[in-house]
Amino acid sequence: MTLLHADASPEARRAVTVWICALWIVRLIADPLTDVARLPLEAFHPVAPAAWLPRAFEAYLLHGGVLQALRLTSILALACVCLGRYVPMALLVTAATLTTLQAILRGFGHVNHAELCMLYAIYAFAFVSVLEHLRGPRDEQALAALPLVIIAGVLCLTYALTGIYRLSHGGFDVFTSGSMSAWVIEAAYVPASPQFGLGSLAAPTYARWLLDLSFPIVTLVEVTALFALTSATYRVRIRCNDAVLPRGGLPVHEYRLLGEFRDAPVAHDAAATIGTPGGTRQ
Amino acid sequence: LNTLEITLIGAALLPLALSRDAWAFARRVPAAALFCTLLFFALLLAGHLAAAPSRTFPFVTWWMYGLPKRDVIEFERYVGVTALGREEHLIPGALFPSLGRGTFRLANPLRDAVRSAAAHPDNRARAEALLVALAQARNRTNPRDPVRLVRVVHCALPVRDWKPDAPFDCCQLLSVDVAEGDVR
Repeated sequence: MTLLHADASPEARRAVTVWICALWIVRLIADPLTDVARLPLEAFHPVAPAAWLPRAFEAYLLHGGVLQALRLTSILALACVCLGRYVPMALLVTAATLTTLQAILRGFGHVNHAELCMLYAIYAFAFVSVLEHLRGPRDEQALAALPLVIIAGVLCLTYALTGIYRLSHGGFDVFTSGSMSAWVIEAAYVPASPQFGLGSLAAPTYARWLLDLSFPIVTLVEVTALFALTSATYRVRIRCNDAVLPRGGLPVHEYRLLGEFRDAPVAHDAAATIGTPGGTRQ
Repeated sequence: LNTLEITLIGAALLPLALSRDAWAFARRVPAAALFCTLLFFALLLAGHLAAAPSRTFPFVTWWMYGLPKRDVIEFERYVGVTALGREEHLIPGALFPSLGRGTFRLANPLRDAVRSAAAHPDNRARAEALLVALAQARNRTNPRDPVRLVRVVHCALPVRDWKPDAPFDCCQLLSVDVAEGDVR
């Protein structure tokens, strides 16, 4: 069958489940989550579903103890999934706690796509596990493979939506205005994360030319990403098999082209560019 | 709703809808599981088209790198002045990594707050609270030479003529004192 992962074995599904849960565990352990509790409450506007709570409860969401409890519950439930104990219930708990945590973290003003594909993977594992549990022990290969088909579908669809949005809302301007170079340069200067001057890679004319040329090609791959689900030829040609494992929600091709600039834990030459008062030129 | 976008989404989904293998797989999956799967993808699409990610999370709009950049990038820098008079950058993504190292989750609301405070002094409280929190986060990791003042510098960077060492315009928007005992 050419539908991607339709023939996946229960062992393959188990391996991917453990891999994704392990990624979440590492992420949660390494995350100094309770630091968020030190940010001012007036800057906190939780997104759905945390936003459905009454305003009076919002302060509790940012309480260090609540954050810690959500984290520990998530880790415990994820560990149960990895060990194969109480899997349907543990996956449901994981889905609820991780969604709440991600909703809290996005409550400071900017909802982005990071971690979402990993969250959707948990949803897929959760509802299929619950259905399997309710249906009792049966040998249903299609149901066993369904979470992997869904994950592949989510990755391909989100690629496609990203590319289509760019075409339909950005138009030709987004490809002809040097936007790709501008994003790389912006990532080097705007203090979202530490930088080590990687934006300078965009300085030479040929680098900008390459970046701008690659952008429509990447967009074309994104728009056609759903072909990867049903066409073995497309998968071989475009190597979309790379997209099977989630990488924090970033489309793989964009990750390769831009992610290294944007996500690298590095810092721009700070001393040279600290601004001075009064409109001075640096 | 953008007609072109919906048309393109329909066209992108067409190969899947016309795939015999996809239909064969769907027939093998139990009806309840198929219903949940279709509901999940319907929510994913609805969340994208609604373009209101705060209300539809965890189903959001996939719009990254979707709109053209302007020729001039405007941004803020947060400069901490320590008790010993040293200046250093305060980088939101590094001081609050839970909010996404390398993403703009904290940088964007901070930018909006300081610009709003610069335009309307009445809106200063939110910006001050965020800037003090930024300084406190830095002071917890380096208490020997704590940040006592945060300066917000607004910069404008022309992209087209950009060179790594080229000068660009910056001016101070506001500054906030961080009191000595002001640690949460």
